Amino acid sequence: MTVPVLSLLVLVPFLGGLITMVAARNWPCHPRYLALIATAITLALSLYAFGTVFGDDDGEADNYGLSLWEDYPLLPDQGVRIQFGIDGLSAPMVFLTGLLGVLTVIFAWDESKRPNQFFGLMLLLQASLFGVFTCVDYFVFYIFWEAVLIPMFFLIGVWGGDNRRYASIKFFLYTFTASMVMLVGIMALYFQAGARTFNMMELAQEAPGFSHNFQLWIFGALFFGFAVKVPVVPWHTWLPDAHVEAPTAGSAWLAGVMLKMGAYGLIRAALPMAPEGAEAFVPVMVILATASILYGALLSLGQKDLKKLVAYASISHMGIALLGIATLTPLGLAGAVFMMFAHGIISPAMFMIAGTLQHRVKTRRIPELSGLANRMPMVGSLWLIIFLGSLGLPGMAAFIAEFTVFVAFWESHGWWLVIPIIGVLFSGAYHLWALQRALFGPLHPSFDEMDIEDGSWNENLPVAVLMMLAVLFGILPALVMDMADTSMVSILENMGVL
Amino acid sequence: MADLILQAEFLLIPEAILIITALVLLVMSRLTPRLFKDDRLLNSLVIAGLSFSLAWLVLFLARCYIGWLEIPTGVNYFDHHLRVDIFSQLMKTAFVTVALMVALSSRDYMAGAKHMVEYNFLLLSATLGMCFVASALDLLTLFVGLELTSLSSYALVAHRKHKSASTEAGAKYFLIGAFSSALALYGMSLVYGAGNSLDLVQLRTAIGQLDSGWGDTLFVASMFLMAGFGFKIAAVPFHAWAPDVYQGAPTPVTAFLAAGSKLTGFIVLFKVFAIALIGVQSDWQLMVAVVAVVSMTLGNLVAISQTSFRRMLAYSSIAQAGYILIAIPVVAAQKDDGGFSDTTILVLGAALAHLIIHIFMKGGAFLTLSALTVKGYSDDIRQVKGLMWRRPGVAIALAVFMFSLAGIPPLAGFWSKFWLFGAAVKAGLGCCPDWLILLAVAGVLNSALSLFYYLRIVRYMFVPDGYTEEEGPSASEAEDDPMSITSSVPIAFSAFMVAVGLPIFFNKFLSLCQEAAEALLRM
Repeated sequence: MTVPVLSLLVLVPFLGGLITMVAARNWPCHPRYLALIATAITLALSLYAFGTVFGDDDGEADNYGLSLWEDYPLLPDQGVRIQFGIDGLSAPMVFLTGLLGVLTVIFAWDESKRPNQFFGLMLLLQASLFGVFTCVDYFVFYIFWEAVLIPMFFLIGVWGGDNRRYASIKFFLYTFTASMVMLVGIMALYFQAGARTFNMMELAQEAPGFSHNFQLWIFGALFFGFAVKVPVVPWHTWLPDAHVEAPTAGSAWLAGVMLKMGAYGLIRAALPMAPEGAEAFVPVMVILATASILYGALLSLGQKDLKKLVAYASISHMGIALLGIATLTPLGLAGAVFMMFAHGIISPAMFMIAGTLQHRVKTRRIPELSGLANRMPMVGSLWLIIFLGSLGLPGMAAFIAEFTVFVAFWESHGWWLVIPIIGVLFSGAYHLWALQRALFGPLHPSFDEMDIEDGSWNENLPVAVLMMLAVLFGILPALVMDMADTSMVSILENMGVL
Repeated sequence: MADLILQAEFLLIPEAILIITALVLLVMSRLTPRLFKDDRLLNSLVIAGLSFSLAWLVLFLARCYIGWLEIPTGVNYFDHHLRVDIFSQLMKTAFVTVALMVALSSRDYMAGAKHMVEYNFLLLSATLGMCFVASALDLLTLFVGLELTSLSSYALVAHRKHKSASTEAGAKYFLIGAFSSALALYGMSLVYGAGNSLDLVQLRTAIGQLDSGWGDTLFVASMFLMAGFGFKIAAVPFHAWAPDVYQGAPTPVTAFLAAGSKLTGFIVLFKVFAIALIGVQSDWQLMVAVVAVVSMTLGNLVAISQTSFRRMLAYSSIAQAGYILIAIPVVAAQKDDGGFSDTTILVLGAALAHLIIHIFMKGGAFLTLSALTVKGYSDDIRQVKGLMWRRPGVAIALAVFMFSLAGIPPLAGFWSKFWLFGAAVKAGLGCCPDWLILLAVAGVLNSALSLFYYLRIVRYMFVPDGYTEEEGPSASEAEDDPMSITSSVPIAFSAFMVAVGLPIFFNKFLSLCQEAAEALLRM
C-alpha cells in the first residue's frame, strides 16, 4: 500500500494546527515545539513529493500526467471528488510551502503573544495552501482557496501592526470579492460542460466545444479572480497594507506562497479551460503585467518603509511572472513558474530581514537605518546578498527567471520588450539605493546610545537557508526548470497552442 | 416499534404529540396551579414533548433514507388536505428542531418571567402551525397553518409586556402581519376564481389550461400573494417590520422567527408559486427576481451601518431571503410540459438545504445572543469585543456562524449557496432567459458585500485585551461564569452542524433535500 503523501501534506499541518490551538493550551511544552515537529514532517513529505516529480521524467500517461494521484469521493452525485495530484507546476510550490513552514516557525520562535493560536493558525494556513497547490478538482480547490483567507485574516488582525484592523479587512474583502467572481466562472464552466465533473483536466478536454464568446467570459471571470490575488495593478492595493501590517512570519507567508496562488491558478485553472479566451486576453495580460512591473518598481523607489519597499517589489516581480504567462510559450510559462519559485525564496528572506530590524532597532524606516552594516554584521551581510539576489544578480535564482521570461517575451512580442525591461533598471536602482541608505554610510545619530545586537540564531538561520537556496537554484536552475518545462509543454499542447 | 412509525395511522404522531403536550400544559396549569408555578418544570415538559416528536420524525427520515420504507407517492389525510411525504417530514424535523433549541435557550432567558404557561403553549402552537404548512395540500389549509403560526408569534413577540420595545414590536408585527394576511387571502381568492379549486395540484392543472384572458387576473393575484407571503420571509419591500421585531422580541423568540418563520414563509411560497401558479410563470418570474435582487442588496447595504447586533442580523436575514428567493424564478424557468428537469430539482433542493442550514447559522447566532444577554451583554455589537479571550467557545461558535452566513468554505453556508447560485447559472446557460445568470452574479457580489459586516463582528471578538481602539460600551460589567448546559447545548449543536456535521455529510444531506424537493414537485 502506498502512503497517501498529498493527503498527509494537508492533514498533518491541519491536525497539528488544531492540536496546537485547542488541545495544547494547557500542556507544559511550548507550542513552538509542536509546530516545529509538524512542519518538519510536512517538509519531509513535500521534499518527497518534489523528488517524485523530479525523478519522473517520462511523465505518467494515466491520471492526467500527475504523480502521487489520490482520489476520494466528496459529492459523487454532483461529480465533486477530492483529487490530489502533483506535477512540474505544483511541485515547486509544494516544496516552497513545506520549506516556509519550518522557516517561519523558526523565525517566530520567540513569539510571546498567544503563541498557541499563532503557531496553530500558521499550521492551518499551511494545510490550506497545500490543498490549493495539490487539488485538481475545482470545487475542492475553491474551498482550499478560500480557507487560506481565514487564518491569514486572524494573523494580520490579531498579531499585526498598528493599522491591522484596516489591513485585515481590506485583504479579506479584496480577495474574497475576486474569488466570488471566479466562482461564477467555475459554475458556468461546470454546467456548460455537462455538470458531470469538477476535475480541471477533464473540463479542459471539453474546452474546444465552448463557443468563443463563452470562453471570453469564462477567462475574464477566472482571470479577474486570479489577477487580484497575484496581484496585478490596478487591483494591487490590498497587498502593501496586508504585507506591512502582518507580523513578519505572516508577511513571509503572504509574499512567499500566497502571492503564487494567483499565478498558479492562472496557469492551472484558467488557461486550459479557455484557450481562445486566453489568446484574446494576451494584450490585456501584457499591458497589466508591464504596468505592474513598472509601477511596482517606481513605487518601490519612493518608499521609506523597508517592508513597503519589499511589498511593491513583489508586485513588480509578480508582474514579470504574468508577462511570462502572457507569452503563451513553454519557455515563458516555465520562466513564470521559476519566477514564482525564485520570488518565493527571496521575498520571505527580505521580509524576515525587515522583521529582524523592527525587532532589533525598532524601526523599518530606511532613512533612519543608516550605517547598520558595522553594528549588525551578520544581518547586514545576509541583507546585502538577498537584495542582490532580488535585483537579479546572475548566479542567483531571480536572474534565471527574469532572463527566461524576457527571452520568451522577445520571441513572442519582439521589440515591445524594451518597455517591461526598463523595470529591471528601476529594480536595480531601488535595491541599491535602499542598501546604500540603510546599510552603509554614517551611523544614524539615534543609534549612538543604543546597544544594538546582531540578529539571533532564529532570525538569521531562516534567512541564511533561503539565501543558500537562492544561490543553489541560481546555479542549478534545471532542478526546477526541467519539470516546469515538461508540465508547461503538456498544458500548452492540450490547449492546442503548440 | 419501528414498523409502527411507518403505518399510515401513525404518520401524524409528531403533530399529535405537540397538540397533546400543549393541551396538557394548559389543562394541568389550571388544575394544579401551584405545581406549574415552577417554570423549569414547564420548560422540561415542553422539551420532553418536542424531543419525543423529534425522535419520531428522525426515525421516519432514517427509515425513509435507508430505503426500507417505500412511500414514493406519500400519504394523504383528511380528504386530501394534509400530506405526509419525505418533504413534509424533513421540514417538520427542521421546525421541531428549531422549537427544541428555542425551548432549551428559553430556560435561562425567560427565567422568572410571568405567564410562562402561555409562552410555552404559544411556542408549541406556532410549531404546530408550521407543521401544518409543511403538510398542507390546499390553499386554505396552508393559510390556516400560516395564521396559527403567525398569531402565536405575534403574542410571543409581545410577551414581555412590561417592556415597551417588546410591546411595540408585537404591535408592529401584528398590524403588518394582519395586513399582509389580508393581501395574501385576496390573492388566493383570485386564484380560486381562476382555477375553481383550492387544491394545489388541481390548481396546477387548471391554471395551466386557462386561456390568456385570465392573464391579468393571475398577474394581480401573484402580486398579492408575493406581497402577502413576502412579509413572512421579510423580503424587500415588505421587510420594514423585521429589524424592530427582531430587536424587540425576547431573543429566543427572535431565533424562532428568524429560523422557523422564514422557512415557513418559503414553504408557502414554493407551494404557491412552484406548484399552483407554475403554469403562468411568465407573469411572476421577473417580479420575484427583482424582489430577490433588491432584498439581498438592500439587506446587505443597510446591515453594514447597524450598531445593534439584532438589527444587523435582521438585515442579514433580509439578504438571506433574497438569496433563497433566487430559487423561485429558476424553478419557473425550467418548467417544461409534463416533467421537471434536473435544474428544478437541483435549485429547489439547494434552496431547502440552504434554509435548513440557515436555521443553524442564523438561529444559532440569535441563540448565542440570547445566552450572552443572560450573562449581561447588551445588544451593541461592540460588546463582543475581546470575547475570544473571555469566552473562547462562544466566540468560536459565533465566528463559525458569521463566516457561514457570509458563505465562506468549508462551512455549511458555502455548500448550499454554491448549488443555489450554480443552479441559476445552469438555468441561464440552458434553455431559459439569459438574465437568470445575473441572479447568480448579484448573489455572489452581495456575498462579498455582506462579508464587510460579518467580518467586523469576528474582528471585534478577536480584539486583544485592553485594546480600546474606539469609544464604545465595554462589556466589563458582564459576568464570565460558565453558561448553563441548556444555553450552551443549542449553540454547540448549531456550530457543530454548520462547521462539521453538514459539510462532511453534505452529499447525503443534499440528496435528501433533493428527494424532498422532488416529492414536493410531484405531489
